[in-house]
Amino acid sequence: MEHAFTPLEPLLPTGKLKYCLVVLNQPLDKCVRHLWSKALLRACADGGANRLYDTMEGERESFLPEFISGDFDSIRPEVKEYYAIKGCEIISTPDQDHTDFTKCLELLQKKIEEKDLQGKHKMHVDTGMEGDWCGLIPVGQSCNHVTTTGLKWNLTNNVLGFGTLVSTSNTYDGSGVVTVETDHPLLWTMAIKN
Amino acid sequence: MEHAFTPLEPLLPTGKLKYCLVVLNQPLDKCVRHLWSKALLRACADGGANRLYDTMEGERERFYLLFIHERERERERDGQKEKQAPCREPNVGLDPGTPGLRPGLKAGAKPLSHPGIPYLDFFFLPEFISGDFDSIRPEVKEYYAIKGCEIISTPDQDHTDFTKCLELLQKKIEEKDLQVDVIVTLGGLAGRFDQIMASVSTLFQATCITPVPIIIIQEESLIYLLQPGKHKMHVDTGMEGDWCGLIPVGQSCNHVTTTGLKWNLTNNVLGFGTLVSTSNTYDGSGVVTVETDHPLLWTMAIKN
Repeated sequence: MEHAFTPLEPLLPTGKLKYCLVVLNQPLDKCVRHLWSKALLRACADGGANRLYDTMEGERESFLPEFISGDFDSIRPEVKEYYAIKGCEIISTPDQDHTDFTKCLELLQKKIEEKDLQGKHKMHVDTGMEGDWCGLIPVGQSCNHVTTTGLKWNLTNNVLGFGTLVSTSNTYDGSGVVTVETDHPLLWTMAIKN
Repeated sequence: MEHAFTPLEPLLPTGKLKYCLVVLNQPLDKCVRHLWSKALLRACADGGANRLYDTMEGERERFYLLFIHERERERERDGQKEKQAPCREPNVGLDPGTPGLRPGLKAGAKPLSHPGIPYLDFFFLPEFISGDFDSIRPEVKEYYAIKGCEIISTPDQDHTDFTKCLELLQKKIEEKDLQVDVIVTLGGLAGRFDQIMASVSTLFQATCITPVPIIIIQEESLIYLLQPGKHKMHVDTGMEGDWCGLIPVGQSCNHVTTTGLKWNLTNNVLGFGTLVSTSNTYDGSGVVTVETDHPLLWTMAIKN
């Protein structure tokens, strides 16, 4: 069964994509405004709330997440208080065996459709927002049977693995579509034009 | 057999560690000044030369003085009798009879010149610059070529500039019969995600390229690939930051045991999808031991 999607679709100005937004503790990119407005649900993981608070100064009330979760070792007290007063759900997840991000996703899990990560994938890379490079990174384990189309350097039933072959600095063949077939989880990475 | 070392030793102001320096195409951290002056060999991979060129622009005096300072301290420590010209110019290795100093200029190299201090530019020349040269600026390449620096084209697209640079560095090490404790690489841990992963991938390939251990440093992070077996790391230089981690890149490690960490592992499995040790820290003993059955990436914070 082939799984098809367009990675950069959420960044398109028009579109009916149903998505949820998670904000982590890093400087926020400009695209957050557009992404925020069209998301079904928005959440912050711990210090992500600081970033939201600081970035949206002057218009914070228009950018209230549904919930903020974490072990709260990063969120500033005044930020936490602000969002609590505004009615955001503040959910403490103190478990130190998992990151704030992981625990935030668990809380979102009911509302996000599970995606099948293995098997055949078809990605549309013709939004116009794709940058120059892309790659396939076999992070956790080797992928023994990887086949691609649409890349400049395609794989044909190749092994990808650290110590064997890792696809970096790859690019597109111009067709606008990339297909990837893999037998184990494989990390896709691509450039976004700025 | 336990392998023992001190990851942050190259960053110590004192120390006799013998290391080579590789500069990749990322903004250079302040530590480059200190690392540059004490390195046995220095190389740039492609755009790393741009970074060097731009950094040196405003820093020539400081580098020069640091270099001289280091050499003098070295001589004091070794109690070596100085072989110097009567005017007491620094020995830049032009005399082939002075071992342990920088290699001399290539035969046929154009004379160096600087309006101020003689031989100044020589101190900032890498041993070589290699790559497919899709990143190095033409004027930078020309500058180093004119100064007599070796420019080596490595167009092979199946390997990164970093990997190819290590191959050349290993050859130089062998040619010069140098004893090298570690190869310090600056850059490679920020910017494009695929390039960061490529840096990690190079560490995996490095075992087939050189027997010398390689560390990669950028900003506040260091990474080092632990091969299967037992390792002992001294983390008491005073330059260690708060965090550390063990990342099972490439494959799960089925038997990992540690000591010296706040959250130790006892014959645990580390793997993406199972457990990855991040945001770990030290127990204060100053020593971390790691035993692993598969390659395991060690990462740690450098205090700034």
